[in-house]
Amino acid sequence: MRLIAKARASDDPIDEPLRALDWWYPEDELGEPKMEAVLAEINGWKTELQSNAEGILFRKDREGRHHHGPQVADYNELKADGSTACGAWIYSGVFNRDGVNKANTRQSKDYLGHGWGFSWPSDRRIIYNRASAKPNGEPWSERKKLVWWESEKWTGIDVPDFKPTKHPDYRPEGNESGLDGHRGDAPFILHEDGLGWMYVPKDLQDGPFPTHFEPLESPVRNSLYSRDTNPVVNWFTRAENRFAPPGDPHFPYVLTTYRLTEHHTAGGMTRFLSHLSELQPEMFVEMSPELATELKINNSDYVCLVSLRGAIEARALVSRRIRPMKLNGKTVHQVAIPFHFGAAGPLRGNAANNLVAISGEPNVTIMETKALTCNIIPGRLPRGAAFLDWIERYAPQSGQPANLHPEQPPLGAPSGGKFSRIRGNERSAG
Amino acid sequence: MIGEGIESTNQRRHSYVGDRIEVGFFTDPTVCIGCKACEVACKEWNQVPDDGFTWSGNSYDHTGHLGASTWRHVLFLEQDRRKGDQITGSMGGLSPQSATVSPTQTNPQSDDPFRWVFVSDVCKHCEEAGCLEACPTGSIVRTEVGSVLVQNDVCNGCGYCVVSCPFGVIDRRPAPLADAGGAFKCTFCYDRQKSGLVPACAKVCPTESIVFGRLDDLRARGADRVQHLQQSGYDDAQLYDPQETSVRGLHAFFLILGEPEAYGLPPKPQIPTIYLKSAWTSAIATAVATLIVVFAAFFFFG
Amino acid sequence: MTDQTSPASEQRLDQLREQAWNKGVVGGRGVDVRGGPIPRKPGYYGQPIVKPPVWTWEIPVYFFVGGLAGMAAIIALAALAFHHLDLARAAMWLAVIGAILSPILLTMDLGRPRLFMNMLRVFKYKSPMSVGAWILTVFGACAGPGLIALEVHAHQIFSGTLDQFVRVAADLLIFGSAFLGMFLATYTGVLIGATAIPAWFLHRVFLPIHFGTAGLGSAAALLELLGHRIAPLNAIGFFAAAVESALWVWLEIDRHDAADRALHEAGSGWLIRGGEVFSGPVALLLRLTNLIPLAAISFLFGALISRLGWALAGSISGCDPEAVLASQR
Repeated sequence: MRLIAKARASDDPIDEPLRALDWWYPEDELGEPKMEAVLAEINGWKTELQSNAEGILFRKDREGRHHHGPQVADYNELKADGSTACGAWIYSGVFNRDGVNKANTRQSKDYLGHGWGFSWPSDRRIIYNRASAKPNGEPWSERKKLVWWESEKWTGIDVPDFKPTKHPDYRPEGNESGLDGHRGDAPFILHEDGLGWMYVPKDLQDGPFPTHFEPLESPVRNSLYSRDTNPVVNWFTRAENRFAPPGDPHFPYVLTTYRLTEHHTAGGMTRFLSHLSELQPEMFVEMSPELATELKINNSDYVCLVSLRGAIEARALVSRRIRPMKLNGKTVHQVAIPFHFGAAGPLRGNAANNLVAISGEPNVTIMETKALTCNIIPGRLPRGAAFLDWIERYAPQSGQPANLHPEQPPLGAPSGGKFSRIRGNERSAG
Repeated sequence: MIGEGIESTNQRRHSYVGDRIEVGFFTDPTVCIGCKACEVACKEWNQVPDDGFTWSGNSYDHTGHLGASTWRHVLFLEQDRRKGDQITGSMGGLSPQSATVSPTQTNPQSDDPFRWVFVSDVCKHCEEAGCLEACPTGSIVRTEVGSVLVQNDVCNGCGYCVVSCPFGVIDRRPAPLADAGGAFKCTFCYDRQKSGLVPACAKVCPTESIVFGRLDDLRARGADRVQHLQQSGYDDAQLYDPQETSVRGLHAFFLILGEPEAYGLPPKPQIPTIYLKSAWTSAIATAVATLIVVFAAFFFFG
Repeated sequence: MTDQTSPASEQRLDQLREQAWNKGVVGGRGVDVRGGPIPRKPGYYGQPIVKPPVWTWEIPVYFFVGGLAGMAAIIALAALAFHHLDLARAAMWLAVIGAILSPILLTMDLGRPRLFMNMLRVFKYKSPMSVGAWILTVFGACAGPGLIALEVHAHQIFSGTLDQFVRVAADLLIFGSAFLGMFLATYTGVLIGATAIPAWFLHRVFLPIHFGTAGLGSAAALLELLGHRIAPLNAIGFFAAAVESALWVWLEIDRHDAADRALHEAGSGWLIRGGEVFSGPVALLLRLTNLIPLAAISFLFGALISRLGWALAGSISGCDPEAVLASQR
């Protein structure tokens, strides 16, 4: 309130938002805005002040003036002409004219849970529930009926996810806008055509159906196709970003990364908190007893993990929770590392990202960090100049082409992914 | 119970302290997810200092055991056994049994059983508490709700409670931690309970593996749970609440899968006061005998 | 790094797996059979089930000093009764010095030394430490004034009835300190016998006898070293050494396997059994051959290292989950 008063006293344009702020909420006994008033605003109301109308919640603001009209029942009552105001249309209905805070109710009335909380929007519990009725409006099954067409409107056990008065036989002419352009038997109202999609028909780099490609670094070949990896993936070919070819004997173990409960993402927030850090104090690699026996590693020994991108050291946590896989008659071992450790903070550890390659999923360019191949060398990681010799021995970099993987495009060539022309592949002529 | 929402005994306010009702913890590892929220919540509420950033190599348990600065400790047991009717199995038929069985005949339930059990350990708040009887300053007392509480302003750190606990719970906090020198253990969040709140660990447990409530209710609930589990294939589920020993039962009791030894729990804990009679008899007899011998020595040789 | 594609290495891997399955460990060239990769440990990852004592050297030294002081008071009483005034005075000095040193030692060990007075906040008969704190306090309250009274009487500072009064006061106070002193020397055995530490509670009948006898023999030995070479003290010395010898035999016979292995293995085992030997057979032999000062030193040495050994045994046994489990089978 002090800030609003200051803004009102100034004429600086930067204070315009504060001046325009409608901080009307009545306060509770602790001097805080009443949360129910905020919820009422989120629900939405008619802006015209009708002091005698029913269904007005918190009609008076902090200064005792009438503030708004009756609550709207549902987002369908919202209009684009200023006669209604709503904080979040999907929550419209949570605190409507009946004065019941539906978000706080805990009495289920039916198996769908009506009466227990508010399921946005409009408290409908099953999306696209028009699909539970045949194209002509009758339920597919009497036993499992959910919504149906009756007495010129849609009705049922759930709130219909459909325009209530649209007849099942409605067919649009072709020049309508919005939901009026959907047929009466098209339940998937958030799709442009109102139909369910078995595949995404446009705007994806790959598809239309899901299929199987191997990760960019894999111990095996693709059994489904002659091509191992996704043809439109972004490789970002650089000397520092090499991928090992499939089944490379220099990197025979599968590596995956995972989360720990005690840490959060890259650890920047949790490694500074003592009560969390003491629960997982060191970087470790989980491996199976079979692999540990084979490499003569004892539980808690330091081991080095090396990939074509870099190397780290970690403690070995030997556990039967990790199991070797048998692929094509061969045993392939897998190991797993958490990715929460890094160089900064009171609690430090080697970072998993040193092993990971940069790549880009075809559509959203998220990189592949969960499937890599690596090698494991017992012992501590050398430092300084010794480290350079060491890594040259286990992950040779010099004298190698940038694209070791047979499907990785060479330096400078386009990779097939939509982002390869923008980033990565520098030194390309065009 | 989980699913009761804000009506659960882990969430709703109560008046157990004023009504002098005995409360307890029932800890059920079959629903514990090993998240350690109980450890963190306890430390946060009670401002317990951290006690070391040391790697243990014992699965995900780097806490080790209960102590002066760890009042909740989650155990992580990796065992070669099944957990109830869970489907277990290896990847690609690796166990010796299946090596001789054709791939179509692998029985996922029998080969390669393995389970990972999590259980949150805490001060047991014994019905007959060794630490309480041993404390010479009267610092350790029994509260209205039946818990065992250390009054830290009275405790002078003599350390006798440390060797008197059959479960190895209480300890003297070493320097340079904050408030060093005193004995510390779980307070059962007595300060929270006095205000009608629930202990921090029970409040925060997301699966209600730690259940807080009236002790008699919890014991009934525990017995039901064991029965239910045994009917679901957990044939090694049992309650750890040694009422038949001199400890006479725990206010914080556990359901465990398998034997107590695997959890570091003594199978037959005893309160050390049962040893007093024989020890004092020996002491008094020695004292009297010594007096007699000394006088006899002067009488006969003096 | 093994070549993963050869059939021979696949076979070897199967062998290893089977061995691990059946035995829980894998043997083989270069593989640490005992250690790994996942060594089997008792209990929960070998973590202690109870807690070791947090006490430091002050406590076993207090056992020694307090035991000596307490028994010295008995000797003082007997000496007074049999008209050995100088011996009585010397014994009471030992008692009082012990009564002063003991609270200092105990307070030094406290986690919060400034709250030492809280020991007298309550009296709990079920807590040997509470009983002991009061014993020590009342002992000191008797021994101090008792010594003063005795010295006043011995130096004839007053005369006549006042001197008689002082003498009677000394008698009563020394009687009090003797009565408490005999418990001061033996209660420490109860203190560590009535705990959850297996090596201790399994020998809770042994410990008071041993501590009391060690205290008695120590008091007599120190008095002899201070020059009081008289027959009663020699007799007491013989008695104490003989009892310690028998106790040593008892200790060697009464074994509880893993439960009290701290008494028979490691440093604590040597200290305890060595202490028994020095206080027992060696002291006995030295006394028999009339090498009394050496016998006294041997007894004192044995009594001290035995206390240190018992304290160390508590730490070792407390950290040993197998001991706790074995004690409950």
